[in-house]
Amino acid sequence: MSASHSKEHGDFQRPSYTTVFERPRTLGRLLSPMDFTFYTEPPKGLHGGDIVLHISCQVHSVSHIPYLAQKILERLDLSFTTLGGPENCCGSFHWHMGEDAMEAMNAEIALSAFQRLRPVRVLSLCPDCDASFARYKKPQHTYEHMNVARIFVEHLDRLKALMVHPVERRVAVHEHHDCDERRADAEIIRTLIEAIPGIEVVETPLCTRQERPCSFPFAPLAEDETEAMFAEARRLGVQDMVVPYHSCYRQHCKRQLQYGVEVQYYLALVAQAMGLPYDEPFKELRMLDDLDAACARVFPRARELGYSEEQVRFYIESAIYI
Amino acid sequence: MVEQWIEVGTPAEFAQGLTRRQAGKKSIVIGHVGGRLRAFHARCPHAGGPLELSEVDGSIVTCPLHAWRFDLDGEGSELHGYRSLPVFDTKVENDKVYVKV
Repeated sequence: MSASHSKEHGDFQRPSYTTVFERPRTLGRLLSPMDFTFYTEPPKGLHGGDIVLHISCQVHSVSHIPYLAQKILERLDLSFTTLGGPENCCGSFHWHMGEDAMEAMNAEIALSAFQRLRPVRVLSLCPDCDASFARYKKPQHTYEHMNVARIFVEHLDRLKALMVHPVERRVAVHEHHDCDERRADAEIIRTLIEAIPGIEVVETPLCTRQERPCSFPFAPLAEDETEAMFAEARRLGVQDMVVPYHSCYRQHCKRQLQYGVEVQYYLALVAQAMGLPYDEPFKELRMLDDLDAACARVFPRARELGYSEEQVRFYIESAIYI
Repeated sequence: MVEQWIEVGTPAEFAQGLTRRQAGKKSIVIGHVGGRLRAFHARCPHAGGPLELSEVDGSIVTCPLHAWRFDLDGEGSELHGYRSLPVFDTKVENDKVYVKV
């Protein structure tokens, strides 16, 4: 099990369904690149290729992450369809809240939606999705479900041929070792990182082997553990802290302000090596270190799309200025 | 199909929260939304979410599964432009609640 159930969260205050789903839905619409597209409900009868890239739902607050996955899959000439948004939630939020019956409903809805696209494989970005789907996947779901990193390692030779731009960075690799699945993710992600030309991986014991998840907002890594991790990285001259999941990225991004160590999602380094352009609006807004300035940057687009400034400010504060 | 008024209970039964009931062949949810007694289809038009467990904020009903949001003052229209929620008329007569289905 990769994260703790709500019954272990003590005095954690339960967020509303509206907040949990509307926040990434809104931030995704406000901050995503214009060429980032996905189905919430694919057309009936669509056969979307061998692969479904599943990008629900909290990852939309950091939409450069699914965008990078799409762009790298495209560059590898892999045939895929992207399914995402809160409409394809795995149910892990409900599980965290102790609402097991609703988790089951959500997981089964998503698993069936994947099946209708007749894929060979379904790739998820999120460890909580991996855990929820593993609890409910049945024999009639004939596809293989896996973390997205695995597909890139399987195509590592082709990927290496495309990574022609050296990324001259000293990096620490942030890993989770709280369960077998996360250890397996860590191993393949490290393989990917080590394949990037120019990268120097610095061994940082406090960054790796985390025995707890960075599962914001349910079980965030303790402040002292996080401080120690970044202090170690700075002491060892690390430039980038490479993280495996969007939740780690969201929680730790701000540490760059204090420690000068930049937080990078691992696919961002792959993209850099491939020469793929991308923006990181989450990081840009957080590095302003000024909520008002961040809001001022987003409000024009929010007004265009009809969102209230008060609501958008709340979402920026609660998702990005954490 | 001809619509008809069907008795579903007393006002006291619907004073708190949202309650699921059968009205003829239709499964509906009844409760106070936006200051009025309202009735709407019991299953979310997206994926069949149990709307008796919805969050209510003013006239907005939010499905607990994926947060599709329906404005009952807007005839059940979904706020993101997705499919609307069927909404039914209600009336109270002689301490009985009726729903037109």
